[in-house]
Amino acid sequence: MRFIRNLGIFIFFLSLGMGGDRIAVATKVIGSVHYIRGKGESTILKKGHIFESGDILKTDKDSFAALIFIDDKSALKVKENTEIIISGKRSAKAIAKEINLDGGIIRAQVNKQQRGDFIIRTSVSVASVKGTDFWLISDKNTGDSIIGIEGVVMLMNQKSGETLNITSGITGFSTQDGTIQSFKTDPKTIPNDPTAGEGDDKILEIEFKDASGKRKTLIIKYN
Amino acid sequence: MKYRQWLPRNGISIIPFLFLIQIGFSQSQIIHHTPPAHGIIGQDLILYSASLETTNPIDARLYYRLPGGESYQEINFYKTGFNWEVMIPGFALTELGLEYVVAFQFQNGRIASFPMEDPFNRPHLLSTIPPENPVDIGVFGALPNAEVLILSPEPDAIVDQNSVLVAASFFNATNVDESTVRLLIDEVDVSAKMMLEDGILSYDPGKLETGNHTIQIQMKDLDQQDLSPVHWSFTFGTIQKNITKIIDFGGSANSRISSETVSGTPLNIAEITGKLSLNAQWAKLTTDIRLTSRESQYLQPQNRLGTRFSFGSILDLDIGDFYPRFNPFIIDGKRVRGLGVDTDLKWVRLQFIQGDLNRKVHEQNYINGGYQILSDLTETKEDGSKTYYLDRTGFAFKRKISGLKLSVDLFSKFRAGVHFIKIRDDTTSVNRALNNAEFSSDSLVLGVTPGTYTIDSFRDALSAAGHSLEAPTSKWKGQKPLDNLVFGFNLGTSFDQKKMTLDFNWNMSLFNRDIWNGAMSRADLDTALDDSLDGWIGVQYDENGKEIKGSTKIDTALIIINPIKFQDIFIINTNMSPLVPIDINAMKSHPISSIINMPSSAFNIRLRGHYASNSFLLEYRQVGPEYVSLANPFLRNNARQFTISDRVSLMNRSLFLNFGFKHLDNKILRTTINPLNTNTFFMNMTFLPGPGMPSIIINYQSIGKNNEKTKLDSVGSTIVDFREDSKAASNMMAITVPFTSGDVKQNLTLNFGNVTNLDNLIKKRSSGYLFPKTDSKTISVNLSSSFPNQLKTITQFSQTKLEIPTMNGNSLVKTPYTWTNISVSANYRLLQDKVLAKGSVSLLNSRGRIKSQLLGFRAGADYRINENISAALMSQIRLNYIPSYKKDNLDNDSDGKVDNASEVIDVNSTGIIFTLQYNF
Repeated sequence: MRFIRNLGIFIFFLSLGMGGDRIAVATKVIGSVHYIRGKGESTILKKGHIFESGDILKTDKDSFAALIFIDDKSALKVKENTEIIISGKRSAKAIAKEINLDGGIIRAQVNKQQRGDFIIRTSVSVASVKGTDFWLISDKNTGDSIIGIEGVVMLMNQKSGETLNITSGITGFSTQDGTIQSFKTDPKTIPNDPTAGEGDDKILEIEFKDASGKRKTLIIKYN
Repeated sequence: MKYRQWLPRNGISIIPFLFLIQIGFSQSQIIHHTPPAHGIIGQDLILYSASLETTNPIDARLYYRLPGGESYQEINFYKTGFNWEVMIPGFALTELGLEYVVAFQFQNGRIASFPMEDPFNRPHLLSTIPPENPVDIGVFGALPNAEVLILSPEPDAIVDQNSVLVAASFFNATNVDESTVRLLIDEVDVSAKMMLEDGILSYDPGKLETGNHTIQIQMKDLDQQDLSPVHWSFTFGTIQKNITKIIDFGGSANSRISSETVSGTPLNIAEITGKLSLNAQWAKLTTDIRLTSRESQYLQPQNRLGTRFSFGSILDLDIGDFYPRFNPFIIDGKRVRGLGVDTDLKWVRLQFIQGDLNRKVHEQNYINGGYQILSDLTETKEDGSKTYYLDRTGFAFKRKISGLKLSVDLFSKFRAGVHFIKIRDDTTSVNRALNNAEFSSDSLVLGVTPGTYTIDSFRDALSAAGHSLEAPTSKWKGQKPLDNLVFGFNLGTSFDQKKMTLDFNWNMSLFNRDIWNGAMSRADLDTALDDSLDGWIGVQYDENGKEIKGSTKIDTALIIINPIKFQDIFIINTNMSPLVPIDINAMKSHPISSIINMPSSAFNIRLRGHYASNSFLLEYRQVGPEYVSLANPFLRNNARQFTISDRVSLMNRSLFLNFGFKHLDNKILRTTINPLNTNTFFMNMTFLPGPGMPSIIINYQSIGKNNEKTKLDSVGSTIVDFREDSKAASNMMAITVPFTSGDVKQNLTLNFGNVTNLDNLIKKRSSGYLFPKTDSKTISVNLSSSFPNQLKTITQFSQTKLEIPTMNGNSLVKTPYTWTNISVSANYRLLQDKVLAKGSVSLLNSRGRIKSQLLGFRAGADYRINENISAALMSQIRLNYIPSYKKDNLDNDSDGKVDNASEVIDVNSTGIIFTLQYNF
């Protein structure tokens, strides 16, 4: 009996020591998306999955995932063919977040940070924000581009150490050779966000039921 | 959902009976109101009251507040045939209970109230019980919030199947006991299927029906106290695109027409109320309107029209009628017509108001409603002729108000603010002369035939008799224009994770009772208290010109404010109070006490705590004898009060105990002799074991009064006994037992109550002393039944006994009065619930000096025409039967016949009410 109890205590503390901080929740998954925890195998990601610090998330072709951080509701939207490492350090009041983007496209909707900045790191650049909305497109061959949607993002090229503030309507480029520059955003270059809706001839159906049980459906068609 | 208290409804039947016995009552006995046994938290409560006056009150209002609050909210009563009704909004009914006062004001200036004695300081305490399904707790007394973060779906969002995930974070909700968290989707408990790990709640509901869905998270804190549930809704459909601006609108319109006859007096009222709301996500426009046929140029406005424009949570802009609140001592919900701005940036908030508290009223529409002869001011000239004084009456000045409050809230821990408010009557707003106003002249006006005159015809009549008339166009002797300036500050803090709050609120007022003469100059002030223009206020000299020592001495040079320059803010003259805010003489010896006890200050210091199922309050409040805020007319001045109370919830919130002690006196000034001390101990127990189980409510209150008088007084040559040392004990117990017989669900409620008054000086009183307090006993039984065939009935029996003290010669007599009421009412749904038929019959038997019976019938129906439109019709008739009229040798019905059969029974009242409601 004592053995079982001690074993239980051991397993409990072991799990505490091994497990990362739980920091985010997957709220939407489209297509083939996987995650890897520690040295484990790649596992299919499902809606409601709780990410721990250090989890790796991978999206395949035509897939998409959205996750939300539990302390301030900052959101990360991950487009197809993207791989990120999600890291966070929990404290009593906030989570210090860092995303390592190993190629691909993500959208970060960052709410005001209580503790430090929200950092997104690629092999070429570091984007540091306190509260903003932007796209980050990372290409291992050419470099990174950041499309500012709202607020200000500080983009730093890791090679040259140069920094640039990216604001709404501006796209910043950070290249392998250390160059960093900005241009007015071409709307066509803004990636599509599946959570904001897409496609044509969308139909919204709302069903009503009156006191006698009779049902009627309101159909709204829009583009 | 409205919770209709049927118990007092039948109290209206006693009116003729009470009318007969009101001679034995005090003035306030002219209204009758039986308070309900309890209210239900968060649910609207309708109260009923009845006027025993033959004329309708010009103002019938209910004043309510949280127990121990400094000021009241007001709601107007509505006439519904024989009764007056008012609905207390559900958000005002909290766990703490509710205190209320019923006040009817009549044309002759009389005010009748419930409770009868000192109503605004000793309002009726109504206890409350939780609803059977406690899902919506009002903001007035909301449960503590937990900082639960909604992760998914977004409130009011339209989501598709891939996004339907319910998720919430308890990351910041450190006080939540996760084992108590429950998740309800569309009111179905799915807690067993949800995941809750490490402060993250998630649940995948799977395939949902298209349409709206609701989510609710219920939880308790670590002390097992309920926390405010988190609820939001979303729509399952397909995500919309490119719709960036959505404007929602909604509202309602109600029309109400009533035609009634009460004691032969017809009363017809039409009223339209409406509400319109436009919501453009980032902004919201809300308009409330009430148009009533009671609107009259002779009254303060009865119509209401107010619009609020809200810009997010940052800005609220009010135009028209609105109800600002600065603090309980200054303005706390009093109606203002004008402009209000409330800018709230969370850490700093600015409130500004400007408008009218009262509108101008030139006269009343009755004789002497515009002019009145003041016989006391009649002057006789040397030649024997007289000058008669005609004063203006029946008017009200436009009362302008403007105010500002700036407050900060730092880190949700420290609160501070400053505020001021300025109120002034506009003396130019009222017509100076009324050509058509009629007033009466009696035989005291010599040489003029008694009768009714206008100002011109009266002046002519006086002139013909050799007299003259003084009818000033300003500075009238009766009502005076007022001026009021109030300012102050507040400080507050929260500690121990907001479990305890400490607040301090200090205010000071300047009040001028008569501003007809405007502001005084420094020189005028110099001679205001003495006749010498010597640079000193209050210095008096003897006949040799030497200063008399010991008099108040204020150097005019020390008056920082020049009254003339200050007059736009406040008019300083000899009619203001206080003339000197601080007692200068006492200031030297007791500086701190002098500042605290400034006669024109009002303050409170309050400590509140929530620990281990206890909610306690410790408060000291003081309102100086000269403190006045015209925007808060119900604040009692010259009062200081200490309160300690605690509310405990036990047995998983099934048993509530509320007990406390209050001491109230008027010993603020050192000069007060024979202060009146009131000590109140109260205790309430509410036991609600759960749905389908019997519940018990017990209230006990003991009020001791003592004015520290030990000797008798004399008025002229008469010895009078003003000593007060009494104790009033009131008890109430209500037991509700739900049970089922066959398919019929029933609720049986028993209610017992009594009020006993004890004179502690009874052995020291003379035999002719009248101890004027009335003892009463009440018992009621009611049975509500729900039948499976859509029929609901309520059967009630009640009996109330009063013992009214009167003097019979030199001996005290307690005259018993008893009224017994039996009533049955029924509701029946038919036509697929489209129609709700209603009916009731009641019989009241009263026994006192005169016996009588009242038989009442009510019948009507509600008809739901479609989803948006509904109509209701209600009719009523009440018959009065007084058998003694048959043999009293009087023509009681004035038909020329004595003691005929028609005298015994007559139609007391009839009425029909039609309402139409449209929601859009």
